[in-house]
Amino acid sequence: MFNYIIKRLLQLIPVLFGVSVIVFLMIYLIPGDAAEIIGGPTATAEEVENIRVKLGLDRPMYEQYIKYISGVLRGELGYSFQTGQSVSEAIKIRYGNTFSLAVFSAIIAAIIGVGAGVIAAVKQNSWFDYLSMSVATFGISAPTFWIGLLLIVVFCVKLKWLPISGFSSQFWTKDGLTHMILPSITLGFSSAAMIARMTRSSILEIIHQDYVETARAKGLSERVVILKHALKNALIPVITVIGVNFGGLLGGAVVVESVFAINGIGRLMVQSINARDFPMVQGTVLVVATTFVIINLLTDIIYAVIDPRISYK
Amino acid sequence: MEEIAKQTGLSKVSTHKSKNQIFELLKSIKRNKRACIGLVIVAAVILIALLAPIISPCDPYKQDLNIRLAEIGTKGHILGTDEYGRDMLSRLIYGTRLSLLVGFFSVVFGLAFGVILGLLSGYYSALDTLIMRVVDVLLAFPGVLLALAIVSALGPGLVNVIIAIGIWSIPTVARVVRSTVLYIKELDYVTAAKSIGESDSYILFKEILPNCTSSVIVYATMRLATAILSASTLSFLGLGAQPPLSEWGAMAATGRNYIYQAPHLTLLPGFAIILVVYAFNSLGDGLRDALDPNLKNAI
Repeated sequence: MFNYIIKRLLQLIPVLFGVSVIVFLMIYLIPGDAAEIIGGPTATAEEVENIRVKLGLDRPMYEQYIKYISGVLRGELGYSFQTGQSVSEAIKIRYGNTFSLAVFSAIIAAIIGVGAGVIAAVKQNSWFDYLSMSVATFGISAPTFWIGLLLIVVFCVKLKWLPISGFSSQFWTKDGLTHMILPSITLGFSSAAMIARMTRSSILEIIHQDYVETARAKGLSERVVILKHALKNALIPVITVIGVNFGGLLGGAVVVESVFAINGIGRLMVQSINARDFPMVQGTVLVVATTFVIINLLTDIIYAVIDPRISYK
Repeated sequence: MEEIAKQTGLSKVSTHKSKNQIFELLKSIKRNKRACIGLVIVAAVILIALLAPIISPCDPYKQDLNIRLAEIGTKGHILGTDEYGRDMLSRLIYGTRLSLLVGFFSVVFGLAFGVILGLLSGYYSALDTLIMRVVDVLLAFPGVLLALAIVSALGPGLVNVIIAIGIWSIPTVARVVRSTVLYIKELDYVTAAKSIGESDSYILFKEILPNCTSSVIVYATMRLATAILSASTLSFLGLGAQPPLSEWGAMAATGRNYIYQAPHLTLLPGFAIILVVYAFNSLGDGLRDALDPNLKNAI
């Protein structure tokens, strides 16, 4: 097991290296002269030259990458073109909001997804099964931004139950919680849908296996059979889906933060893209991708710990 | 060769067989209720896109500020009007064109590169590690993040969205094709082709590729749904279609400013996206069950 963890950690290095290369190369994707395009049509020749020097575009590519990666390893991601603020600082301030939004959404998605999936499987072909699976299909097909806007129309505009925007990562307070509910449901909706479908099919696969039938034959109640015997094994693949989806929630946060005006990394990224603030875009993309890779690694390790059938080779 | 092909059950695609396969495929879809609904909706949407100028009640770009933000059911504008008094139904109808075009071209872009990379990676062990590590890196960007990063560099616009979503599709296509190639290249008929001295390019493109078609078709159908969804998201964020184009994501984005007075500006484009995405997903599921049930766990 220890060797497996070490091996997975070592595999992380080339992936993170690759991610840093792609993020670094983003600037070379800009068609034409990057410095001129970033500067905009009103920039003077001097300003364009300044941008070129700031970005290191006047130096050979390998030199620029070494400078970039050594900065990244020290936690320095450059300075915003727009505000002059340190990119690392700007991300640090917002990271908590994005991460707590993703965690809260993952919890909501897991509770709703597993709950609905278990009930749908146990009551297969019932009205609940059809309804929950239809909602799940809807959840997978609907754009995240639209779910957010729909919830705003229903709960904020029509019913006036919840606030439209404003957000606090202190979700243990009443105010924090009310601001957190809609963004978290929005972000977790498609994830919950996938978890529900996965849980349902996983339980249906296991529910007729011999050891479950044996548990029934022993005279155990259906509740105990499902919760103690079937669910334990059925949840193993579901945990992977939850893990993978949690990473995906970080990507979805870009949209949800824009819809609910949440001061997180995602919104910062979109604002920076629109302002062509490249150091900020590169910094936010790098941080989100790195977090995603680390979460995927943790999911793999948890999966290996809970399922002894996983090969460590 | 033919004999061996017959024995392995993976013969080259002949015209007669193709017709038969299409007939079998349609029969299988007919048995699957969801796939059937998906196929009907997809066919209807394609038809709507083709006939947009004929069936649209108005010009989607014609403004009339006297009837701005008209509600659903207004006379002459059954789905109301937007903030410039443009007919919502006509804009939604024209929106099908943009959504299908973006979805189609981005998937074709992704397939063109992904299939080749998958073939090379699956067939040549020496290239496998390198290509798969690159694929791993591309998959390290969650959700639409990679597409977002690419659009941020290329600049906003529909063509750039197509390129971005296309690039984002490459790693997954490459993986799907690679896993199929790894299985097929061990089959007897490929070994036989090698033993009679056929070139690698002949084996790859004439022997292996035709047998990857089912996985590619299934994946492409499902990817169309993802591409349409992602393109609308990028447009919603202001990075895709630019005003006054009647793209659904962009329409929902501008409608957001009028969410109190006219929620239909936001809700209607969303329903259109859901319908199309649902249709492609259902059709993809049906095709998968019919063509390649083994893919159920892979996709």
